[in-house]
Amino acid sequence: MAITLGELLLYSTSYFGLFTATLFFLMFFEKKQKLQNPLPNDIGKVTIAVPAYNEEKTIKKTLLSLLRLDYPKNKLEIIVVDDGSTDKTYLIAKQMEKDVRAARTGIAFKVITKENTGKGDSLNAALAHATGSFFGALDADSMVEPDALQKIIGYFNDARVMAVTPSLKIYQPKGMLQRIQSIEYLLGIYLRKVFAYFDAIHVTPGPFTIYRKQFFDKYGGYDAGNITEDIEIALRIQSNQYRIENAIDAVVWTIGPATMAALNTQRRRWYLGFLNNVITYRRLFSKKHHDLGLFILPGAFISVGLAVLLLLYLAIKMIQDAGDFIRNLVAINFDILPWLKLKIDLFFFNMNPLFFLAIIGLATGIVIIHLAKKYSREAGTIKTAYLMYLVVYWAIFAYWWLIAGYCKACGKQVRWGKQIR
Amino acid sequence: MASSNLSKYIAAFSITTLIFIVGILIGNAISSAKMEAIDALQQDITVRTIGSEMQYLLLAEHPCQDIHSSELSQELFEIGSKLAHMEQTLGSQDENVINLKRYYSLLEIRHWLLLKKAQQECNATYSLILYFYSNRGDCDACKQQGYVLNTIHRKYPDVNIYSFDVNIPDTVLATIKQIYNITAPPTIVVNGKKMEGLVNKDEVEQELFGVEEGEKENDD
Repeated sequence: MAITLGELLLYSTSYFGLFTATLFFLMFFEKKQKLQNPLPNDIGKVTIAVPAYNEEKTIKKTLLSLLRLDYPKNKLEIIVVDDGSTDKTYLIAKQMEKDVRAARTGIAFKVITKENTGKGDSLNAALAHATGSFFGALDADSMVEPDALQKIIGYFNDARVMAVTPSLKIYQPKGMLQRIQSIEYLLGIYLRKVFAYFDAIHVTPGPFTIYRKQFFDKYGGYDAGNITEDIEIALRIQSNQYRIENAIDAVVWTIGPATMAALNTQRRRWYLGFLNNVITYRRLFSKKHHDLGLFILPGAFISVGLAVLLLLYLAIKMIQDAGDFIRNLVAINFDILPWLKLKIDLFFFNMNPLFFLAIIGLATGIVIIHLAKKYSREAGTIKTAYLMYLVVYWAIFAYWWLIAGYCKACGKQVRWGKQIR
Repeated sequence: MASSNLSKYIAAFSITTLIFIVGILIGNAISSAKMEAIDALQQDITVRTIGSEMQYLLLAEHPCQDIHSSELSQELFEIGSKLAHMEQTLGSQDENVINLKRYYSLLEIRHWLLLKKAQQECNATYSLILYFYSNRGDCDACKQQGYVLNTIHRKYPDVNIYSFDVNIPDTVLATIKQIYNITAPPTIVVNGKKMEGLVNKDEVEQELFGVEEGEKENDD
């Protein structure tokens, strides 16, 4: 059988994809009983920092969700860090501070304001004031479910656990772009749990990942200059041989970028930040780091590489096919009438192995999304957004990586971009 | 690697490989079933062509009404399309594909000869197109030429189109190529007239059904 370069690429991609999916399934189902969150031996005090830069539209919702946390009130401390906002963010936070004090709930509530120096620096400012044994941040565009914190805290029974990640979901997705993101986040929920089983979580999402404060005391605060300080922290924890856990049903809602331009900016930052940090922490690619070093991190690079190659290959092929199609039409002088008589013969239906693999891939995707929904307690159906996700997402994903790789290669600078909603 | 997980990697590897092998086996089984179907079709056509030839010999006095079955040439064309599809699936170097194509070329030539004979002896007129192509990547225009002739076939089912892969090693095919002095694909021969290079649909139609004003002079 003659195999072209393109077919080789398609087969390697499906082989790698199927292998990874199978491995993750085996892991997920073997450890399924561990999905139950451990009960805490000890209820520790938790400090939640809310860094905010011009978030007057959403900060109130964020703070209210924190005040509603089902957690002993005297064990809760909230520190709002106004990062030199030019809108009413500071005033809104101050008003909340007054209200909380007046209500005498026992929750410690503090507002700090400073010059605009960026998110990492804001978090470090909060760290300096934090009195809890645990520390987490909640971006001012995100909200927590009331039971999120109590589901997380039990994982700290294990002294080696330095961070516990929640499950992130897109808040009230509107439009196709946000719906596709919400499917992507569901896949992320599943993957994060599987990575936790492999002891290989390498991203601790900014919103509501809770850290053991000792870690910051011992290894320093956030890397303020880093464009993805959440990835840096995760890799720093891993490289010091500590553990990162995940509470799959601790739900945090975040707002997804609504426009393609805003999403592009966000992803360029994420992926370039990932590249930068992984290069910094390249010593993680070693036997000492078990699954993370030997398969999960290298695998991430392999899948990104395959997706990018596939995108380039299909783009070239599509251009060629379109060229052929136009030349064909010119050659018959656009007399397409004879072709409108449809003849269907099953003989011409191409039943090559790739077709079967595509079916398996599609089914796997449905099962994964279903698992993620079930265990993160999400209602509702998936439908069109899921189909859109399957069809177009990988190509957009590959495109983002292509851009990030390009930025990395030619040294283009990327900063925290402002989100547009 | 933690030993407890190593077994999972091995299991995942085995499952994946198994699925791939099953997929490839199913794909191959379907391919060979299709090839057998083509073979059966060719056998059927052979029998019917021989039948036509015998009919022609038996009814030596007035043989002409039964000679041309348009159905037969339609089916011949259909087999050609199926072979092209299999060639795409299995590759042009596949031995079975080459063998079937060689057989197919002979069938086409036989049918073509039959119609030519009927044309001479029965005063019948058939539209006959011979098409010489190559798909070894050395003939860019062949894609379009094939599409043009497919369009002609759909538009005028009575036109008999015989396509020949110039790379098929066969002495009869070599002779035909010699007769028409075929040097480079794509070349088509429309009712005896050789035309080299890409011939578009309008030009083929002109050649088949008479010529619009002012086009007749460079006819040879």
